[in-house]
Amino acid sequence: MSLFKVKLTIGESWLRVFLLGLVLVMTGFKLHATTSFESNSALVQSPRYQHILADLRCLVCQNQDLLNSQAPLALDMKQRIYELMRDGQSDQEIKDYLAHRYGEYILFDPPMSFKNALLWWGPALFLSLGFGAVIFWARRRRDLV
Amino acid sequence: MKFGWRWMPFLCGLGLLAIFTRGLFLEPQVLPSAQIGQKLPNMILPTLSGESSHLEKYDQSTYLLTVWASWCEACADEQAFLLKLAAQDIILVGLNYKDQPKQAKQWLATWKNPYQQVLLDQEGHFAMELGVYGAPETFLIGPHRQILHRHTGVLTPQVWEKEFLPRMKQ
Repeated sequence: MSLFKVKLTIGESWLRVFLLGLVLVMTGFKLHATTSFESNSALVQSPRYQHILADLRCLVCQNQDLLNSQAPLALDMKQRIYELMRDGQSDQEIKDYLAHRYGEYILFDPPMSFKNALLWWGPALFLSLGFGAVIFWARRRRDLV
Repeated sequence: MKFGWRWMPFLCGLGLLAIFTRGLFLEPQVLPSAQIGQKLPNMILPTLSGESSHLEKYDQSTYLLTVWASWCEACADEQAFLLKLAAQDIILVGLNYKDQPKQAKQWLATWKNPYQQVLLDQEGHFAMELGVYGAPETFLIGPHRQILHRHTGVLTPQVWEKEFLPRMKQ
């Protein structure tokens, strides 16, 4: 019984070491991720900055937005966006700046163009085709009866 | 007529299957460059040999701009092929991306240097102008600094023959 208890405490102390290590590792990552421009500016805390980042795609981890990405490239982009904002550029100018260099793919909400018109109007097109087909067959059946 | 319509769901299913099968082989991580047809940004960068970049001497020629770094493991994979290209008198310019000059030098000493110049872009500013999102990337630069093509990932002989050679002959 007492042996069991000793074992348990050994297990617990290992757990503590493990948890402490985990916390240290995580804070380490966090420290690493926070670069100088992010830690000392009210601009970074502003909703506007966060909104712009949420509208832009991280190109390394493609289904993530820049706001939630800590990839090195995303950090570079965040820094550039921060600099552009500081220089008084508008949201659209900042998005255009990045789209001009990295392509429209970086925008989560790409502008409508001939190339992606099907993407925008496709659902409506297919829905109306479906309704058309249903109405067509329903009428045909009624005529047959 | 009646016979044909009965097979419609099956045909639709086949069509979808074809679309999905194609989707399996798409590579969404390979992005088209928005910089094709644009001019290489007019930035002066320091070089590894301690001078500043002088790309104007290639203004009449077509050359490769390779984005690489010592921390980039895939970069070593294309090195043998790049050396082969350099031996065929193809001009290669390296863009050392977010790296330390000391480590870059060491890396080139290990893997040999195919580049006529190595530009240093420690902050990645030049690369951002080019829309670089990783290393290695290879740009084909034509006369008057015009960007003709971009390949992301390792430059293999197959890619070279398929994507670069036809554009060089133009």
